[in-house]
Amino acid sequence: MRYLIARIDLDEQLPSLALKGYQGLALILVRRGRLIEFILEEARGREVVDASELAQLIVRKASEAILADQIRHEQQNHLSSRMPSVTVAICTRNRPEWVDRCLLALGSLNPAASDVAEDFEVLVVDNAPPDERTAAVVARHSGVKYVVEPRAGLNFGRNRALNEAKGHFLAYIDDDVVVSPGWLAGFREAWSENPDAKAFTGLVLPFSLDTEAQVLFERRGGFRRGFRKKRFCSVDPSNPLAPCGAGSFGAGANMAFERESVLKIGGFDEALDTGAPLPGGGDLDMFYRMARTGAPFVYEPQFAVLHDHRREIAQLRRQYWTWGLAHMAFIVKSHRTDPAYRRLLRKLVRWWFLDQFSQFWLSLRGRHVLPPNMIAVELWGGVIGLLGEYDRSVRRVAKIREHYQ
Amino acid sequence: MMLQAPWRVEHVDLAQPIPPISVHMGEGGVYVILWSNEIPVGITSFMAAQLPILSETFSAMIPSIVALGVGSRILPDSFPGTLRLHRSLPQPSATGSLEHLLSAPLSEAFARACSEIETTSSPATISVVVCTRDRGEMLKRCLDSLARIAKDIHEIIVVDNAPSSPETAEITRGREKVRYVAEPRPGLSVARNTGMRATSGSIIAFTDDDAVVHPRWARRIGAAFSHPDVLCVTGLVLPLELRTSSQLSFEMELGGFGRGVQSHRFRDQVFRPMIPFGSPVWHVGAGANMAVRRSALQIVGGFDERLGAGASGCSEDSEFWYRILAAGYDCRYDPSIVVHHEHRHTEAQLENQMRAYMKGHVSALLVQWVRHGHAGNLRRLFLTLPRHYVVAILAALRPSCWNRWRLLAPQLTGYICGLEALRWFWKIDPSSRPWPSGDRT
Repeated sequence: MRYLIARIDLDEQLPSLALKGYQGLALILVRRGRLIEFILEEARGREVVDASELAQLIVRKASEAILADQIRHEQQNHLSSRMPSVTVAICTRNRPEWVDRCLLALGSLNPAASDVAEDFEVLVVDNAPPDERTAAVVARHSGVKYVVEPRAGLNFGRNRALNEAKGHFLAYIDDDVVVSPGWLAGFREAWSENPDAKAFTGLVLPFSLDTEAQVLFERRGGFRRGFRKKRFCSVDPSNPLAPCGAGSFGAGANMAFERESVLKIGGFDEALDTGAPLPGGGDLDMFYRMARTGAPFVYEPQFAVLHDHRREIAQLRRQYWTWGLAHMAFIVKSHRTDPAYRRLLRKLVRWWFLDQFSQFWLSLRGRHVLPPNMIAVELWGGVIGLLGEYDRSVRRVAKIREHYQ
Repeated sequence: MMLQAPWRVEHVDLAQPIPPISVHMGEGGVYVILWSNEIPVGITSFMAAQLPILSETFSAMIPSIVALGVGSRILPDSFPGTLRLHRSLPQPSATGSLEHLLSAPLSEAFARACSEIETTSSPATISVVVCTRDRGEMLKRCLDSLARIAKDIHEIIVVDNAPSSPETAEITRGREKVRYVAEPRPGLSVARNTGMRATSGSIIAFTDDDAVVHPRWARRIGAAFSHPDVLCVTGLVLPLELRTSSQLSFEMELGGFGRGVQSHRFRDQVFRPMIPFGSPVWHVGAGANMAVRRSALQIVGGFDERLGAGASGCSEDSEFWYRILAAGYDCRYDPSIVVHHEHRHTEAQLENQMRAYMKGHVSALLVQWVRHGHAGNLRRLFLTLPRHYVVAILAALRPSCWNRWRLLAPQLTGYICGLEALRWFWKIDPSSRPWPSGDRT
């Protein structure tokens, strides 16, 4: 199963899209260089979507977003000229081709980084590298800083970046993403509109939808958090589980913080996001702890990256497993360290299991994008996560630390 | 989530520089209404813990808050109703053209659309009916707001419903265009019918004594009747204040009287497809802000005097809309027609109101079923509502949710009391109209 990804510029003539060989269509709508909306549509046997059909689809799915963008365009917005210095950290392990792709995209930002931020630094943290290949790739890109973090684990890498970075802001992107051209300008937009915010997340769109696993992942919602700007605080009238339901804040593949604030709360928890067997939860934990400091948390759709989803069904299944595992490990940890929110965290556990069960039930009746076994895997991951996974991870990480001391 | 009263109601004009939003000492939050060209285009609210919000932050949020309100006024085809139909039905989808959607500038198109509703010279003469009962201070405030737009109004009829003192009569004395009519029989439907009989305008507009009308209220009502099929027009009811916790829970938890910033036409959008499921006529609006074409009285009659405050409790307005829609005419909701309503102050009043609402709703469903034979009303009465309440009761059984009983219990009592209307079954003549206009004037 594959979907055609088409970038549609609304300022230009609409194209006619040939869908032969594709089971569906993903539209990324752009206007005046800004991302407007993302539309996912099944082909339903059509071999061609002509311009008029495309126009209808856009009106049906994106009227509100197009209008909101136009209203914004007509508002007199005074953007600050340049934002404080930014370091972007790419924590990677043994994926040199992806790092190359990621660095290329960072080199072709539009507007250029020097016009957006007072200083811009790219930092590659090579996590326990088995060979020199990543170092060689980085050497081909000028002005990119390279450090090696010998202790394996994403959050070891993230903390290393925290100590190495020079920027006022520190943006983290995963090595499997490619930044959109307006990524940094989007960050500036979020910052200048929310000068009081200390933490930022952004939109994550699919880089490719070439395999069944990628399409399934995206159709279930992917990493998308919508095209509305959001601002989270410790309370949220529309979300009774705030701030514990940190998953709604964004995704770790694309996040940024004021560096000082992260240092102040002690950096990332190295027992989460350790790579296998617990490759997740570190972002949730950081989002939650940042939100608990009381500073607003901002989600900005223009601050966008494209994420290369898992290609194989087995990898996807593994991903859902780790989502369940890591989410519960994060909750167990927070329940222990944050007594004030224990009641809400328990509510979150209850909500999560009920939600997974209802998805499982829908899936059994054929009303869910995912097959039942995928949801069962996520559920089972949640159960194992509740049953002491965090403690096991703490012990594993202690061993790694010992080893390197 | 328990909200902490008092909240402040703040009005923001988008033509002015956008202000920062913050709370003053002791306030639990802010309810913000965004206006453009004197039309409400967006409503949002902030709890105290989300504040302060700087003006640049708030400016950035505004486009997505107002997009629906602006879009539905200038591009109605691209913004069909937001009302959800039953899940087995196809949802309304946008059919407008992309060129129109992309055509700039918006602000001009919006200003043009707004000035159109002001300048449409309608030959209508508007009579206003205000029904009141022993609420002198509020009535005075309401009449003062009407006096400011006296040039747009033909006459104001104040119906004094079973008064206990001559206060109302005194207040109305000497006011321009105001006529006092006494109605000794209690009941809001009775009073409204009496008021209508006393009018002579081609459009009869209703507001309540606890409301304050917007300066352009009457003019916009006149314009909203431009299509001959429209027999009834309703408008947006905004909270005048949110000082007490019952006012706050009425507006924020129970949805208030507000029906949003997007306009709706009801006949084909909502009413017809939803007949098998019990048409949700209560979405049409609120009796505190509605207007009726005089000819509607010949076509469908007046208000059913068994329904409404002082009788079954409420829903006399929605049952009236039901008859209009069932007769093949249209009701229209236009949020540019604004009144500000002072909600009930005390917990006890709010509980009474909830009980009365449910009781009135159940009675109205039965009346609608008998009168039109639409079984959807029974489906709602004996299937949808009980199912809804079983879920609500189960949820409220959890110790952490016991505070939900505060509003749930009166609704359940109201539901049971409403079934009392079953005794009307054999008394309703399906062909009759509640108040045949010809024979009693």
